[in-house]
Amino acid sequence: MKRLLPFVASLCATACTNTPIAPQTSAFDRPEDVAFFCWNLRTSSPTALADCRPRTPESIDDDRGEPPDGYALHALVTQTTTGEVAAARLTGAEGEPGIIDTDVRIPGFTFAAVGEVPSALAVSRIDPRHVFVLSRGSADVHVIETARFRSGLGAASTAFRLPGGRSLPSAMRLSPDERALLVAMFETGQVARLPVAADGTLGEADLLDLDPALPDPVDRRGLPAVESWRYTCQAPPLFEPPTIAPREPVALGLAPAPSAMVDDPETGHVLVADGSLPLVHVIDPVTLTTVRTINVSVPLQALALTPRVPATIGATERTERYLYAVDATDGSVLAIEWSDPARPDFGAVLSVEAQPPHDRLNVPFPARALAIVTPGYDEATPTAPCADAQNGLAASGVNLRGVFLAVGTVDGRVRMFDVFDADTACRGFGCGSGRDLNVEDQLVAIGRHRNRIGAYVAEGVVLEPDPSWETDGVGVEVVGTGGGTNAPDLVPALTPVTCPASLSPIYPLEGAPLICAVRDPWAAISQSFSVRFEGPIPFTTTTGGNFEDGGGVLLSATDYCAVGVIGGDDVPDEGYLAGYAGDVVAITGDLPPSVLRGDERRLARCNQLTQRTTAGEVTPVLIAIRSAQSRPEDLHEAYVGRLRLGAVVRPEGASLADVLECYPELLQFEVRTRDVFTVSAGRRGFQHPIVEGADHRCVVDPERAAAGRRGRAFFESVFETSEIRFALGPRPADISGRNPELRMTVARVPVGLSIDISTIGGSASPSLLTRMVYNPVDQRLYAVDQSVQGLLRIKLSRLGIQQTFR
Amino acid sequence: MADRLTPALLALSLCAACNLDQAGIDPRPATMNFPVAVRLYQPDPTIPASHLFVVNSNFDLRFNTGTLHAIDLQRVRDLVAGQCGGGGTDCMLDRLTYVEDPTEGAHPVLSDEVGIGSHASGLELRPGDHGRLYLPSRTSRDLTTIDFAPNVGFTCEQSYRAAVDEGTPRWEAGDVPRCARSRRVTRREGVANERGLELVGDPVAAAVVRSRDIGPVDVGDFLLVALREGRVALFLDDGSAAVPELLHVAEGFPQSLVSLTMEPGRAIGWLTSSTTNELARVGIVVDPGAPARSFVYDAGRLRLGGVDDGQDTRDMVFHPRRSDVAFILSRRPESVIEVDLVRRGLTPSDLGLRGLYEVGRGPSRLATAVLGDRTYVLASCFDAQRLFVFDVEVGALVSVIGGFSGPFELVIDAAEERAYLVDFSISVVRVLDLSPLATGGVPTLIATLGVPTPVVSLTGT
Repeated sequence: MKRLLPFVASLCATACTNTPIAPQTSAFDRPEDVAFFCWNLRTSSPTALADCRPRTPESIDDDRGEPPDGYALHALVTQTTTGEVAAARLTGAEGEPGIIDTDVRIPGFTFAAVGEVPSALAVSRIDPRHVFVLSRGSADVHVIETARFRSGLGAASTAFRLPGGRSLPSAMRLSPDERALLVAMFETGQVARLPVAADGTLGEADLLDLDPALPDPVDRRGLPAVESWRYTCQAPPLFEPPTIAPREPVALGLAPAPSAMVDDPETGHVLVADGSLPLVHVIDPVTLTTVRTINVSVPLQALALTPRVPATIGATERTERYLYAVDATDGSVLAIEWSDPARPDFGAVLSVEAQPPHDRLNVPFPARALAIVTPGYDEATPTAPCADAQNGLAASGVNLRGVFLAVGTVDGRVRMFDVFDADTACRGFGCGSGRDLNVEDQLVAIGRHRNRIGAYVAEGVVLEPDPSWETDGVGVEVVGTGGGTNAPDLVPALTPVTCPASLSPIYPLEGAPLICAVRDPWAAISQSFSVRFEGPIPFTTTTGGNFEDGGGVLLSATDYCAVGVIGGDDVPDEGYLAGYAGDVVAITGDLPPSVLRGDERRLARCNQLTQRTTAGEVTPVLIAIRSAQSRPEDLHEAYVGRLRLGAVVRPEGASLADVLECYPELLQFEVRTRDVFTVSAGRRGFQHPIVEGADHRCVVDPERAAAGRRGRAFFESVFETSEIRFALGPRPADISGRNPELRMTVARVPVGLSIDISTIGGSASPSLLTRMVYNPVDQRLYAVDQSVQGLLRIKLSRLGIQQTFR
Repeated sequence: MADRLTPALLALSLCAACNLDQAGIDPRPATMNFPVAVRLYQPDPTIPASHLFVVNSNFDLRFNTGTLHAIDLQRVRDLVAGQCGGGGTDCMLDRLTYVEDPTEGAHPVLSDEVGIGSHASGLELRPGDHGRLYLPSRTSRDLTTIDFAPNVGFTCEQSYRAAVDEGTPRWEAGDVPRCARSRRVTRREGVANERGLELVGDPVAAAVVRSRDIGPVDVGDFLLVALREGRVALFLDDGSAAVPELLHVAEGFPQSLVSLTMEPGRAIGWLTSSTTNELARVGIVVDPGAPARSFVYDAGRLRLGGVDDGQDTRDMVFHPRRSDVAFILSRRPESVIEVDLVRRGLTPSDLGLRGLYEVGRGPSRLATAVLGDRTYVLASCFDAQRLFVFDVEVGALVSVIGGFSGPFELVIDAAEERAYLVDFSISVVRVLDLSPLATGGVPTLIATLGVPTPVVSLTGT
């Protein structure tokens, strides 16, 4: 016992000295919407939001967003899981900002209980005595006295049921005169207006049935070209977005389904996005009538309207406005002309990008939220000088002064797009007129509806490292500026090409170009190109192949036409791929166990067929493909693709019967090109012109080929797509049986300015951005992350996350 | 003296622990213990289900076996209507007993019960007649196969562990009959031996598909079993024996597999993993000439690109009315991700994203149902202790249902507009009425099956 005691004591000591780690708890539970009110600390009452406007900061560093003494800015945030509304104090001395416990008598944070799945908030900017909370699940509006949030004694609410049964209300706003609530009722296709009495009670709802009629979308073709607002310094050739026809309208239903609303402060109208029909409804909230409907070709799920901005870089008058929206079918973002209803292009979806899709902003992932931010944008003097430059600092891409579009995407980022940058005069070391220009700020491109480039750019888009050939383990051969390598027998040379208008010389940067690519900083994509001799066609590799029909047919789950396979019998007589011998099947898997453990003589024949080594490595058997089909009628629906096979290409002299003998069951194979190069890009993949033609056979579509969808490059021929152009020289003497690969990597593409809301303070956690609201009073952008971060307060004068509340 | 006594006491206590003849505690009949899976016996989906199967995992190893229950749902309906006023409140059916037990005050809803070993990890039914059940078991590291017929009950050559006096009612037997060992393993015939197959790993999920739905011949049912370590096994049940035959094992799938879902009408199964943002796919190749030589293969992976960060997915269901849409339950971020199976994302390797819908903490299982003319997706969130309901057409959350302790797997009877949800933490099954969704109301809890049994610590607090 005595000997045991020290041991036991040491165990206890170890246990007792371990400091328990307190878990970091979050008071918020799936926040969704946010609204603001200002609190008068002296009178302990809510006051007009404008009372919380900070004084104009003397510098960006001085911009803390603090209201004048005696006032505190607050936020209200809906909690969808618990059916509550939480309040948070956003400003104050250290220790004062934070979540507010609405009822201190109950342990833990207590918020105001409202309806089922509270999804929208509305608070008057002038008279914020009442908070209105829309609950989607219970289809009602709860009214809460704003002051109750800070009472510490609970905040009771009064519920007002919306008309109809299952309306699934999707959005709510106070009317511009703040005398009524407007509620979008998704399920019934109506907008309800509920009068707001002075005591906050809601009156009987009036209903407006949204108009389902579809006018024609606005077509900008034939209209005079409009010069776009753009500022550049030492930029490479930039490509103009082509004017295209409006898309064929698409609907997700038969009746209107309002999904979002935004005010038009100029007209007093309310713009209503339709989540089912491709319409924007403009309604008059006073008369509750439809003013007009605009056909934008797709249903929408979010809206953001800009203030007036100058039309061109030299203009001083504010004449233009734009309405941005999220396409409900795919989450892309579109820009709609919204300047003047009298103009013929009013309501047109604009072409904003040089690369397709031309009528969508360059947002790589589906958008979940939009907001227009206007930091430092004094509409009376839109061309005020750079703020940062006045303090001896250089203007830069992260200083936002003007009008910008913030797009929140599913990957947890907030991406910024330029609408009007008030600091352009100070940008570009060789171009700007301000003082203290940064020497790194060489290449500047700022354009309306384009990604804002945040970092300084000293050099444009290049190939980095230099293009090089990998030669099956023999070595790496760098392509010289003359196009040749040190292994002319193994790999072909590159020969000089002429760059078309859409591409720029990228290698070498001086002298006769060998490779042309996109160098427009907005259009270029960081990616690698692979050019591989007789390389596999992507997504054709499978271990699920089985011979049928005595070996003449291979069935699998691969959609061969979709991935770009073509047989020798189906190549065209002229045009792209004329004369091509067709792709081949390459059996890459080892011999099946039944052969390896079976008859020794058969094994010997199969070892010879596959040149199998003792280590189990095989030389792929190659079989010509006569034709490829996708979903032929006589194919069982469990399969997708069928290949009709021809002669065995390798090894010479072998037959299909020889192959069948060695592969009676398990078959791992892929499809490769034959005597040509397989070209694929990291982002866009293997671009090919193959489509499913008659009899479900995979054939060449000449239109796709003409549009640059080409995946096969030939010796002594120019290869061109919309992204790259090069020419291969003659066939090298010793290339047969080898698979050399040319790699070209487009690098130094300027990255669009964005904030990753999932990464705060050095730690990262998955985020789910759901809403963004710009507060013009403190000139901050507020983002709601449902997953972890809660409410984020984002400073815009030098873009960064200022605070989080969770 | 104390120095001599202490080692002796230690030795005595150690010796007591070495008694290898301890059989453990037999489960009390009609007792739920950490239910982990549920399925409906519903050969005709247009008619309300007659039985509910509940797999009790015996997660805490409190008893010496887990059990499988068949609950007579008509009796549940009668009790809810009679004793509890028709579903207006949570009807506590906590005194479960067998349907023929006349005990006063009991709730005779249990049609049959068998012992299946501990730590079963799922349950799948034979397509069509639902007459055969397959349970992947972590204890046996194999499949348990049990037959069922409403008027017969379970058939798995079951017997009591110890002799039970003849004439003893089964609710007084003090134990449950256990499935024979022969039913807890699968067959190894010529193909498995020839291919040198070994079923090594932790079975976590299973899926069953009729051969005629995926190939040109009708030879029975193919079963896929996902093993946590990144393997998938293929079985064939041609009805000629009491258990399926192992045909093939494919490797190379992601580690930490969680679920396996067959794509409707195709021979492709989708696999989720808790350690990667890739969804793996396993394909079945049917050899029409020699079905026993059929095999599985890696059908390629698709990535949840563009999501922050998609590295932990727990379940997947396909849209019941659209062949190009599926829903994936993600823990990073905690959401239901709607994906497009046709359109690709940013790169050809990425799934196309259609939408993200937030859920609560610890999302665990998904279910989908068509109620009326609406399509709903329901997501159970274990740590949030809630069930999230999404209207797919609207693309929004419409209801959050609380009142659970550890919601896990669920099944939906669309014919009756009811959901049956396993509440793992307190060993009960919840019955929810989904009909209020049609009028914008909130689904209600109308019954609880089993005695709520909270998890207690070793000190009894």
